Amino acid sequence: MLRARTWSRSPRLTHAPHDRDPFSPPLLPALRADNAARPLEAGLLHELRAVLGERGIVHGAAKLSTYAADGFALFEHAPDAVLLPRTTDECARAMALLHRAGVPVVARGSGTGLTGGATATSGGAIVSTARMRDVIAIEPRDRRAHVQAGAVNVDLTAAAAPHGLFYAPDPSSQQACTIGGNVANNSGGPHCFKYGNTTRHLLGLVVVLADGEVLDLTRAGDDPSGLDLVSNFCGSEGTFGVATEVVVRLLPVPERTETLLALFETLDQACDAVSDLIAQRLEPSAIEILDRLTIEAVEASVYAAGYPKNAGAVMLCDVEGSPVEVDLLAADLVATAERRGAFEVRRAADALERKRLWAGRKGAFGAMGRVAPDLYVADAVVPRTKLRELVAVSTAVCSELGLKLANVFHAGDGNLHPNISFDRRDADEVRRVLEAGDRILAACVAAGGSLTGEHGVGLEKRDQMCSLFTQDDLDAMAAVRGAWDPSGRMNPGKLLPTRRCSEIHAGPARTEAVIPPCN
Amino acid sequence: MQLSARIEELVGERVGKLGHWGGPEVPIASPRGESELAAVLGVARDEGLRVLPIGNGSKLDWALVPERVDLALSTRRMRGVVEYEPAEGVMTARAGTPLRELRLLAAQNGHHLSPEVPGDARATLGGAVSAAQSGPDRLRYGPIRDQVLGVRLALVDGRVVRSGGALVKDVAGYDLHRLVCGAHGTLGVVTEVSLRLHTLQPVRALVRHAVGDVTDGVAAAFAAFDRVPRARAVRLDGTDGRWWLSLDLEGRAEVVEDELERVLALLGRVNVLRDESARRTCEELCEARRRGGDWPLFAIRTRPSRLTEALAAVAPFVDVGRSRAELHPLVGEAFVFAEVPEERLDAIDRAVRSSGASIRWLGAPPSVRAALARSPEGAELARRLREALDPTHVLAGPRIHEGL
Repeated sequence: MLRARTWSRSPRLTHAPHDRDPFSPPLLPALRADNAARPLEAGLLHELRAVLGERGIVHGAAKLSTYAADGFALFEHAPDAVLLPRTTDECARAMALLHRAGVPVVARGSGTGLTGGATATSGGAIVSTARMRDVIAIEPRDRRAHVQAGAVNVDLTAAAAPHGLFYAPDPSSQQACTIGGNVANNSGGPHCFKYGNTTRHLLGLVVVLADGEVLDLTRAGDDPSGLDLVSNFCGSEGTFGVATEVVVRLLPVPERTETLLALFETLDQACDAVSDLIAQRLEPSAIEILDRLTIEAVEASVYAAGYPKNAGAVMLCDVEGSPVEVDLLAADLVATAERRGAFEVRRAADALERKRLWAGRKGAFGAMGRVAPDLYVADAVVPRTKLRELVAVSTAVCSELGLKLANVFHAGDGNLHPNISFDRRDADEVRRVLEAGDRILAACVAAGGSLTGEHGVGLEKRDQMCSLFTQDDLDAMAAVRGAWDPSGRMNPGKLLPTRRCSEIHAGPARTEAVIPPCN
Repeated sequence: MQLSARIEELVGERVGKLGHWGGPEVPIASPRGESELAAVLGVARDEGLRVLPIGNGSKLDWALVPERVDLALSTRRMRGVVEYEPAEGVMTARAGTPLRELRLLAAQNGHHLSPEVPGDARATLGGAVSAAQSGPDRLRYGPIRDQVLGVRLALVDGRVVRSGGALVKDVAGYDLHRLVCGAHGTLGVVTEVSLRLHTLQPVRALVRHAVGDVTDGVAAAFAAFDRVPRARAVRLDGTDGRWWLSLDLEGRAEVVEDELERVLALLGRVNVLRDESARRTCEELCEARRRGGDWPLFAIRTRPSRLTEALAAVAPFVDVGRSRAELHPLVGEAFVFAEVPEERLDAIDRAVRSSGASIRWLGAPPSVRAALARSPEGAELARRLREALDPTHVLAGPRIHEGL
């Protein structure tokens, strides 16, 4: 759930009465007395202050409410304190103190995550990387960068640019999201079609474990020494430990980049064009689709990119490489798009126009704020041969439930983002949005897809893991989690179901079970 | 009933022997599928046996010889493709399938399957994954962990669990499929693997250029890669004191011609092999990493910028160029073939490490490898992970050490 505006508590929403699961958070729990922040014990606070300094701790209800939700704003719960270490050492010492006191820990970067992963669902401390933003080193000859976990994605690319290098994963939130958060969620972005999610660019980590132990998993070469703990950590959503430093691979800025915009009358045609590109094994670096509602919203917003309003859908592609390579690939793309019914294919004339076309794409979520006050950004993956089919399912589900659906997604990866606009003050609409999300995900999973391509599981999709994995799969994952965090205090209640799947399957629809519907 | 007889009954085949691998001669059980495999593991659990998971056994000597092994468990009869929809670009196959079989099938459908490894008629998919084996195509396509999208893993208690799947983008659940890359069968037995496939390029060219020495060669390699950043491989091969830089190029005809022009402008005199002869020579170069069935004595891994430094550290003990060496400067990797008296290996080991690089003793005798093995960072966590997935210690260990 993307926060399209500043969160304000509405008295019309209350939590659901049942609470079978200790981690099952009620909707808008801030309204419940027992969800108010409980100050940490004075002695512990004193010790933490000695490690982190006065500015390294946030406490007090008013200040903590800022940290009550991440980008998944349907649920909020304030932490009991927020810790802001500046170094690995400070983080380790603070974590050791929390360990001794048995306080749960939620790691947090910029809080742009969309699944509730950085929300302190059961209270405890948020360990924020907001004061660990340094780019420690750019090593151009080795094409790698060493950063603190709180370094902002776009700042890393800016630091690499003078060396002719860039960092490939580019989530839409890259102006704000941190590299540590990207590691936690194994984040993607449009250009991950060619370059892959964060895990393919991750070379090393420094991790602070639950008990304060520091693991230096940076390494001599590109490969792990012993078990590949770094890869295992990537995508663990704060349940294994807190990453404090990250080493990533940088890539040379391509000699030339071209951006193509193919205009289609229908969304189906655009989907077919993408499936066709994949089947031909053509490899642009990004293949995105935006549908009519998204185009209208973008064009009416500050992100107006010059997308034509007469198109039912557009396909936005980047082609990179040497001039010869780019020309050949672009010609193939144009031919494929036209064969699949594109009534026009535009080539961005210059860097400025390219930038504008991409700003429109990346600003699409924000632009949706014009359509309705709130936006539910779903994230699902389907086999790339079934794009059209599953996009049609999303449309049908939303139309049946009377919801406004906009599609803007990483088509080349089969990564759908059905965006449903709604108003959170309308309780029935919230219920229908969650139902639509569940049904779309169920259809994607049934078609051989997955629950998430880049946003992660977090709180939102925790119980739906049962629809994708068997209990045995989840038990093995839980065993791995237990090895990393024997204390069970790292981001409790996230990623893995807290009940047996048999119990969850017997219950009601899934996201609603995690976040009970409002009255 | 005797162990061999019980296993023969389970797998419907006479039990063979695993020998000449550095460890004791032990029976090999080769189940035909996951249920037989689980049954064999069940017997091992009941009897308190230590099991060594293997494919065809071509890389057993990369890892340590475990303290105790009673039974080898081979996936070599678990073969074949489970799912391959060419329009999707993903292939799922059983762990015992030889990589060549998969590579040829992919090629028939316009796909390249990475890694390219020597002896791929025998090397199995599961073995390459478990040994984290990457090939000379790594520069372009990445290490094997980047190819693996999902696995099925048989745990010792009979459960077969899945991580990831057959999708190019999927972040649901913990990543166990990368964790088993390089785990040498210490977490479970990989039974199925889904791989990302790449576009098979129509034209191939191999540029060969003589260079004066390692330092010149490494500098030329970096300069060349700046001009042809999509090269499949940029390697230096040294034999008898002579060094050759090879650039393995591929793409559409126009792209390759353009790249050749760039390289010619940089290097001047070069030999260019095209298409069939380029492919054949590249295959020979790939096979050379395991000439005569022997792996290189050791492999060095470091940052690309520090490779010459690491090689310089070795120089007092072994003349790398005069022996034989295969260098991948852009990847920071060097494979060295040499005859070195055992008593000098320790000094090489220390010298390489003090240069900040890591070293793997691939071709050294098991006793030497064991003596030089060191515990990697995170060893205690790794132990807990093994304990979590194999609490009864059915899988033979230790196998893993720093540098693997």
